[in-house]
Amino acid sequence: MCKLSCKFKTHTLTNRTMKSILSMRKSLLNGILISLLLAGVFVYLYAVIEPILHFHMQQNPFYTSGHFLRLNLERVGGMGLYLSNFLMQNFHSNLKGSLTVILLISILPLSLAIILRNLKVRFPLFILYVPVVLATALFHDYFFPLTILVQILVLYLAVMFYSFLFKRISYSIVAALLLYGLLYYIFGSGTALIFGLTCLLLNLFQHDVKQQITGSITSLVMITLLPFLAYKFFFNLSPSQAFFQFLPELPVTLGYQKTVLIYIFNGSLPLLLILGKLISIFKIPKRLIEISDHKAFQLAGNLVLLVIGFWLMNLPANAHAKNIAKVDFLTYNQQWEKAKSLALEEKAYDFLNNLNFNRSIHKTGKLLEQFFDYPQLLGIKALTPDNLGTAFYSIQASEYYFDLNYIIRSQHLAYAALVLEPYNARVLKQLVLTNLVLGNSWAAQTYLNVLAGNPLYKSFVEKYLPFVHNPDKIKEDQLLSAKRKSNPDNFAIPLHITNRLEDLIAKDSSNQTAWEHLQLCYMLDHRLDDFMSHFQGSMQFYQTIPALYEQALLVYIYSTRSNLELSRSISNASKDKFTAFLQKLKDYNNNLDVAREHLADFENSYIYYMKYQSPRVTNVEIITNK
Amino acid sequence: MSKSLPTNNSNIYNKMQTQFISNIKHVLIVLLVLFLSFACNEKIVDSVTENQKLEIFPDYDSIVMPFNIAPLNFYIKEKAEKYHVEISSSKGKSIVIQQNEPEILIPPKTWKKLLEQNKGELLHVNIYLKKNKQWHQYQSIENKIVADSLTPYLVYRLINTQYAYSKNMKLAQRNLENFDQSLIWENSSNKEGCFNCHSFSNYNPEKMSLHLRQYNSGTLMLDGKELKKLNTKTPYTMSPFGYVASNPDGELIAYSVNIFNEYFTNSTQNLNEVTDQASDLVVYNRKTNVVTTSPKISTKNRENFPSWSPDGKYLYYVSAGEAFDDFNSRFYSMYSLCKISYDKHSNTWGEVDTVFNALQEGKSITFPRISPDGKYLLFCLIDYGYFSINHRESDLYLMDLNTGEYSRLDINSEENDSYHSWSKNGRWIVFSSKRFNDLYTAPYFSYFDEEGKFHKPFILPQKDPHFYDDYMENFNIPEFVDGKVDLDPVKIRNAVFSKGVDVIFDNTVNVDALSGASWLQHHNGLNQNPSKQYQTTGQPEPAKN
Repeated sequence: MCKLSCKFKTHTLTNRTMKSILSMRKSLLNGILISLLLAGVFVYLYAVIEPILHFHMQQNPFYTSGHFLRLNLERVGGMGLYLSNFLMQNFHSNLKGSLTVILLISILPLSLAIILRNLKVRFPLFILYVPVVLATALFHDYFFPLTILVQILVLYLAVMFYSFLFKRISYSIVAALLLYGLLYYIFGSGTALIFGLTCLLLNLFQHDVKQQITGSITSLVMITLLPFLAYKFFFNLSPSQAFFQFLPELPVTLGYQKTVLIYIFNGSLPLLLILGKLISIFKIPKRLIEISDHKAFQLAGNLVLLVIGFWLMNLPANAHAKNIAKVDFLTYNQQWEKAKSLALEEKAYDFLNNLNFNRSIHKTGKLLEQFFDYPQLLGIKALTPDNLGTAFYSIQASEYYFDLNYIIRSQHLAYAALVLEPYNARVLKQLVLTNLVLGNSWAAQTYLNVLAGNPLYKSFVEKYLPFVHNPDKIKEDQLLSAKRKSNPDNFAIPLHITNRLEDLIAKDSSNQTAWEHLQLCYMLDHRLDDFMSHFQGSMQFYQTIPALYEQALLVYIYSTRSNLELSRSISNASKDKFTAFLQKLKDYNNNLDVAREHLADFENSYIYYMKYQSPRVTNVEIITNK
Repeated sequence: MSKSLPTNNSNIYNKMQTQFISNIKHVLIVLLVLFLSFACNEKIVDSVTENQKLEIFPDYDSIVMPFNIAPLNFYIKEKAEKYHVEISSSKGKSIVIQQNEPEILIPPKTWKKLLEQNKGELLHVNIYLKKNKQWHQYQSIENKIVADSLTPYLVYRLINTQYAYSKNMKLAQRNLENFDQSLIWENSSNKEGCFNCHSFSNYNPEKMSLHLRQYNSGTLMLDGKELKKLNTKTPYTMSPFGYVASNPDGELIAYSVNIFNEYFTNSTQNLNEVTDQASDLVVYNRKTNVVTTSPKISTKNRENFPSWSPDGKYLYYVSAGEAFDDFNSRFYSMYSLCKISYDKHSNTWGEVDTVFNALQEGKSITFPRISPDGKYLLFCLIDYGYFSINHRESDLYLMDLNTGEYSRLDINSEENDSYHSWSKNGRWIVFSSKRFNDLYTAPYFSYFDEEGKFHKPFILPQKDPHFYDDYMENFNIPEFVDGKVDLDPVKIRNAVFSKGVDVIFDNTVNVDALSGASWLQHHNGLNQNPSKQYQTTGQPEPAKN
């Protein structure tokens, strides 16, 4: 008897041990898989996404000042922004930014696993990684607000907390109401609504009728009555803000893409719960469960998810978005050569790239050599971004006018940008510079005081604060002192850029940038008569005629059949290229459409622009989000 | 099974508990002693007398202050190891503050008591700084406390900069006796819709008018507890209501109706300019919901900025010549001041009288405000136009309405001073000034004594004396109110989203006799910014014959 019993015991123990070992191996495998996935995501974020580009494009403000805190405290959703902007400060370095994201998104599968365990919902393990993949893919939009990730993360945590309590009815009611209120205030109505709906689902999925009824009633109160009360009595919100504000409302300058993916990520928790429930409704054959538990299946699932993730992350649009962000980043950081070559790498046209390319070649002194290397599809508008009639490019326009030494106009546009983003550091820095140039050191000090509330801007503050304390020091600063003398004398600012440039030249005829931009404007606008009338003046800076001017002269001579003395000064290279273009056209009976594919060698020439790219012939218009 | 611990263990735990409490007691006593030793002020036995005054911000030195003002917190600009400030007057207990920080935050209760006890007396602020272990005493700051109270609430708009619409535009109210500020409205729920000009009838917080532009536009009218939205565009007025002035009895409210443009300039003195292409005046009757006007205030000239005399019998306003389709006539407009009598019972208008002739005086007048006793007119003079807030040269002037003589106030700064308002007792004015950073406006208060003299103005006190260092909003159109306005953004939002009540145009007005832009607009429609020469906001304007 004893022997038998001992045998039996030994046998049982062996089975348990075996199971335990198997379970440990499974956990170990899962742990390795999770670690690998997260490590992969980290590398991907660091090397491909580059969080610093997010930081640059969004300029997420965070300051220690009371004014800044109050601004966020006063608003529904404000504290969510405050918190995420705080975290975004880590994005100024790729390493810290990637670590921050990885820390945030690694909580998602953990909390989801706990929720599912508490609900006793059976799930293939790789489903846990769905939110990780979704979140990572969203970072391809360089305007993707981190607050969305933070709000979803907090939502997962809130539901996790609720899932511990929801079987104890009284506790769960109090917890649900409190969490709902907090989510509503911190992140807005949409997050709170998803929380309410998730709680409703959790309760409906239970077998206990009493719990189903009380929990469901609580949830229904949350998603209907509470937002109504919040709207009616507590918060100054519009109906859509009060009930369905799923995504943060940000200024037009931070226009992120509200894609399907973003909404799927937002609703991922209730969607996964519904999916789980649907799976549990159907009786899954034991064999299938065994298969699903098998490590090979788990591995395959992970691989499928990785493939989907890889596909999501390598959409051509993602590379395009990164190129635009990187070019803007490089331009802002005065890495002109890199910026212009990267802009040229991108085959699809982009207005911001066009703008940054133009600025980069101007800064490297190649404006009149390389201007048409980038297709100037919007003509004069790509030189003067404020002509678009949109606030979107206000800060770029402000920087453009700063280059032109048109400081007042630069300041107007910086103020316009400041209205949209009251604490944007790029704008504040621009206002420091413009105010110092214009001699208003008090105003410059105000903005420096704001910037001093963030240690990231310490060097900028330390550099310019002495100018505030001692305005005479500006004379020692080459950049600022050079710009002081250029403000036009006439009072009102003309509507047309060419008039503005003429005003700048009238004030300071040695303003080479203004001359070059004026002549380019005439060229882009097909106003070669005006180009010719300003030609002598514009030549004061050169020994020989710049290549681009030669091309304009050739077009002028050809189109007016005039016999200019100047034609002798035009280089043979330009003449040959121009003649070759005309010959090619002639070869195809001057049929522009047919000849086009054979004129690739001329794409960077003025005559090609006039025939194929100019908005005057293409009638292309930029559609802007005002 | 008992859940209590065994007896012997219980004793141990009791002992431990007693010991723990005793330890805590000791720690607390030590902490208390330490706290008291630190909290006690160091006695200044010996100090070096400095023959100079310390620079403090805000500048609360040699001012006249009301007894009911919030504590004038300030910070000392000079660095020191320790700061010792004594605030005293002839009666009552002095306030003594000794600390390591330069920010002097005055206890509100003691401050209030001290000021109430010393109406008509001087308030002394003695400052000592400890440097290199030696106390230095600086010249005392002396301010006069007057018994004339400040109207207790101030309502103002908070806008960041003037160049674009934003969702952060706010209308706020501030209790001047303490630091409580609350929002009346913020346009965050109403897209980027702008709102402007708020007005109260005779300082009554229950009679307010506020106009909203663009989205869900309309004029909000608060009458007692009732708040409603009015749709104020009629077939005979070129625009909804604009600049506003409430009649003291609260029944009539005068408004301008304008088509305006904003121009950007190359001037560092005046970054942008708002001009009227056309404007007229109308008067709205709260009781009848009728809008009336007259051929005398709806002319081809541009009438604007209405203001009632305190007896409600005269309407003052500014007026400039007709604007043509050329830049100069629009931009360099010279506004004169006119007045016209109006009898609300018979709905009849008197004759227009010119009080200030801009062409003769060589300056343009704007923002006329008559003192509550009807004796004085406070206004701004600028080089041209009427939108004084962007003119650095804008200064405040006072006219004796009996003699017609006027003079520039000594309290003006080199920067912009404008948008003024009288207190209910006529002894105080508040105005917007850019004197502290030449960029953002802040409210300043100045005492107007019985001899007709204004005293050194002081900025609206804030709890945090560094408040203005990095504040990036303008305090716009500060208006005194007798009490708290019982409105908040939620109440206003409900009214803003309502359908609104259409106002009725007075059918007794001979429309064909009107020669103003309203008439032109009615007959000829609108033009789209016909000149297209300058950088403007591009509003449409009435077509001309």
